[in-house]
Amino acid sequence: MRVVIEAPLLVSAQLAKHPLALLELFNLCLDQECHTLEIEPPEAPALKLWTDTLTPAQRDEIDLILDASVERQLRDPPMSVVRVADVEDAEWEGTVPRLPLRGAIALLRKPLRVLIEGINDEAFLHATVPHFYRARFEDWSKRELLKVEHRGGLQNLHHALEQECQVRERRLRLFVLFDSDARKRGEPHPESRKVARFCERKTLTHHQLQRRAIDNYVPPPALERWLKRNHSREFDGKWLPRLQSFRLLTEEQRHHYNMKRGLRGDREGSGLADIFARFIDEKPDQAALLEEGFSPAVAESFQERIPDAWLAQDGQTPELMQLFEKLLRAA
Amino acid sequence: MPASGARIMALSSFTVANYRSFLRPTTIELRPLTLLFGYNNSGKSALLRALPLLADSVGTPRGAPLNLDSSAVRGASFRDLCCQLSPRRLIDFALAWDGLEVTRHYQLSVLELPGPQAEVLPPVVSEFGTEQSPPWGTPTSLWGTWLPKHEFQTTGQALYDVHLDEKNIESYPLAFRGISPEAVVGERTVSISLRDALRELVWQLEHLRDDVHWLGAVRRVPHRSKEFRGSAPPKLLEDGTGALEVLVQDKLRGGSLLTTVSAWFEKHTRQRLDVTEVAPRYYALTLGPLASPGVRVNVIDTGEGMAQVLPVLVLGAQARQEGAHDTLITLEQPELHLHPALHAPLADFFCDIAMRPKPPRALIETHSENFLQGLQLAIVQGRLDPARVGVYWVQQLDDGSSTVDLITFDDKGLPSRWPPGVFAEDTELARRILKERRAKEGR
Repeated sequence: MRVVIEAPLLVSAQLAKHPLALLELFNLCLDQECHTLEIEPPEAPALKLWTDTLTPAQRDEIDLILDASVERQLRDPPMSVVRVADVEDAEWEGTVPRLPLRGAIALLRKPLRVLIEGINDEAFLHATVPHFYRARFEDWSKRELLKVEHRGGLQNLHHALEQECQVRERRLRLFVLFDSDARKRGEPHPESRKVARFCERKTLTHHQLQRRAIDNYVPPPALERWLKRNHSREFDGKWLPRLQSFRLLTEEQRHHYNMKRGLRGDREGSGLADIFARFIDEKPDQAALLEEGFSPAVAESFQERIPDAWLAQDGQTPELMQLFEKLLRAA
Repeated sequence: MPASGARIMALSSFTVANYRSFLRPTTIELRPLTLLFGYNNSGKSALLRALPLLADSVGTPRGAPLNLDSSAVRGASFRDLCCQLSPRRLIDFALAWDGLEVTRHYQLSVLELPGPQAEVLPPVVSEFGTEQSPPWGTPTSLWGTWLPKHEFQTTGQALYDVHLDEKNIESYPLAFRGISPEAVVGERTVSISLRDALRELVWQLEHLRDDVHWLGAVRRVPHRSKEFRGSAPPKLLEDGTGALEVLVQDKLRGGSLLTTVSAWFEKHTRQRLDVTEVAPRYYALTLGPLASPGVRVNVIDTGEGMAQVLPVLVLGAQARQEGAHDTLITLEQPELHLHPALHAPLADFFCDIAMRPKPPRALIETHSENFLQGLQLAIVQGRLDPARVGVYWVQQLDDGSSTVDLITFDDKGLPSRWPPGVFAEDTELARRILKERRAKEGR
C-alpha cells in the first residue's frame, strides 16, 4: 500500500498526543516491504523538525524507508493509496481516503486478504506463480502479508463481498480471485459477471479468470503427471485415451471443458456449449471418451508446482503475469 | 537494386529457438532503443550475440551455414550453440525486417545429423522460408525443405523441395553460402521468379552483414598512437578496435563525428576529446580540461571508464550521423567502468539517437539501474517517446531454460511491470542491516 503522509501531521497535536505512533508507522513499513511511505511535500520543513527529535539510528531508518519507497514508485508502485493526515476521523470523500495516524497503523497491520472460492484455488496460486513474481509471492505469503481465505462458490463469494464492503477500511486490503465459469471464450457466467461488476463498483482489486475455472489451467503434462500418480493402474486403459482425446480439443474447447464432470456433466446440467458440436460430429469416438471428465479432484494437480515451461506451452503466462502483478501491487 | 526497395528495410525482430539456453522460441522486437536486463548467466549476451553471429554467417564462411569462426560464438561448436535441454541438434532462427509499407521475414533451421559412422557432419539448413509483403502486388513466399538423400557433400550443394508462392516447383539444387540460399548456376534453368526471390533475400542478408555492428563487454583501450594509412576500417571490431582510426579519418574529413563524441565528454566530464598528430601520420586520442586548453592527456592515460566508453560513443555517433534506419548496433554493457553518475548521460546519448527521424536501432545489454532511470527521466521529460524503447527482462527458469518478458513504459516513465526486488538490492541490504542493528540494540 502506498502511504502518503501529509506534512502538517508531523507538527500536529495528534502527533504530540501519540509521539511514538509515527515511528510505529515507519517501523511497520520497515518490516513489511509491501508498503511504501512518502511525505508530501517531500522537502517539507516539518520533516526535519520531526527527525531532529529522533536518534541517529532512527533517522537512518526513516531515510531508508523514504529512499526505498521512492525506488518502488519508479518501478512497481503499490496500487492502493491512503493519505495519513491531521484528521480526527477517516475521511472517505474523493478517490484517496485520508486517515488519522492510529487508523492508518491499524490498516497497515492487516494483511492483504486474498478472497478465493475454494481450497484448491490457493494451491493454484502457489503452483502457477510465474518465476518473475515467485520469490516475492512466496516471501509475502510466508510472512502473512498475504492471507488467502476461501469463500465457497461464486454465490457465497458475492455475499461475502457484500459483507466485507460494509466496512470501508476492509476494501483497501482485499483482492478477489474468481472463476469465469465461462462456457465459451469471453462469455463469463452471469454469476461471475455479477461478482466482477460488484468488484468494479466498489473498486476492489480483482481477477476474473479468463478460462472457465482453475481446473482449466492444469496444463496437459501436469494432468498426465497427476493421473499417473493417482490412477496408475487404470492410466493406460482408461485415462490415457481420455487425455489423448482432450489434447485433440481446440484451445477454446480445452479452456472451457468441464474438467470435473466432462461433456455429460454439462449436458445434464445447464447444457453443453455449442463450441463442442463440431468436435462431437467429426470425432464421435474421441468425444465419447470425454463424456466423463477427469474427476472432481482434478484441481489437486496443483498440489505440486507446475513448471514454467508447461505454463508457457499452455499459453497461460500472459494471464498469470497479469494476475500476480495485480495481486502483489494490491498488497 | 531489387524492386522492393529493400535497402531501407530495418531489422524489426529476431527469433531464436533451441539456441543456447533458449529452448523455446524467443522473439526480441527491436525498437530504436531495446535494452536487455537480467541477472548474470540469464542468457542476455547469448541472445544479443545471435545477431552478430547471423551477420557473420552471411556469405562464404567456413563451417557453413553458421560461421563458427565468428567471435560472437567464442569458439563454440554447433553443439555448444544448441540448447542442452533438448536432444535435438537443430537451431531455429527467424529475422523480420520492416520498411516503408514493406515487410520481409526469413526463417531457417540449422540441423546437425550424425554421419553413418556417428561422425560429426557439417550442419545443414534443413528448412528455410521467406515471405515478403510489398506495398503493391501480392506477397511472395519461398519455402524449402532439405532432401537429405540428395546431398552433395563435396560441393556444399543439396537438393531442396521448393515451394514458390505455394506452388511446388519440385526438388531443386541450392547452395547455401552461410545462411544465404543461392541457386546453383548451370544445374537447371532457374525460373525467373525463383531467381528473383532468392536474389532479393540474398541481397537483404548481405545488408544484414553490413548493418549489424557489435561491441562486446570487454573492450581494448585504443593504441597510444597509430599510423593512419588513409582509411579507417568499415566496422569497429567487437573489442572497440578501430575507434582511433575512425576518429582520425573523420577529423581529416571535417570532424563532425569527433565533434559529436567530444560534445558528450565536454558536457558530462568537462573534457574535450581531440585527435592529435604526435608524429607525421601518427595520431593519438587526447582529452583535456575545457578550462585548460593547453593540457592534453592521451586517452589511455585517463580514467579507464573514458577509454572504455569511447568506442561506444564512436559507434553511437556513427549510427547517428549516417542516419541509416537499417543500422543496428548491439552493445554489451556500454556503461562498464563508468562511474554511475555517467550512466544516465550515456542513456541520454542513446535517447537522442533513438529520437531522430529515421533512427538506427540499438540493442543494449546492461546491468545499470542509472541507465534505466536515465531513460525513465527522458520519457517523463518528453525527450524520449516511450514507443521507441523496450526493455526485456531475461531470466533463467528452474530447469535452466531462459525466457524473456517485454517491459514497456507509459508516458510517465512507469514500466508496465518490473521484476520484484531488482535494483532494490542495496536498499534490501540496508534494511537487513538496520533490522539486525535494531535487534542487537534490543529495540
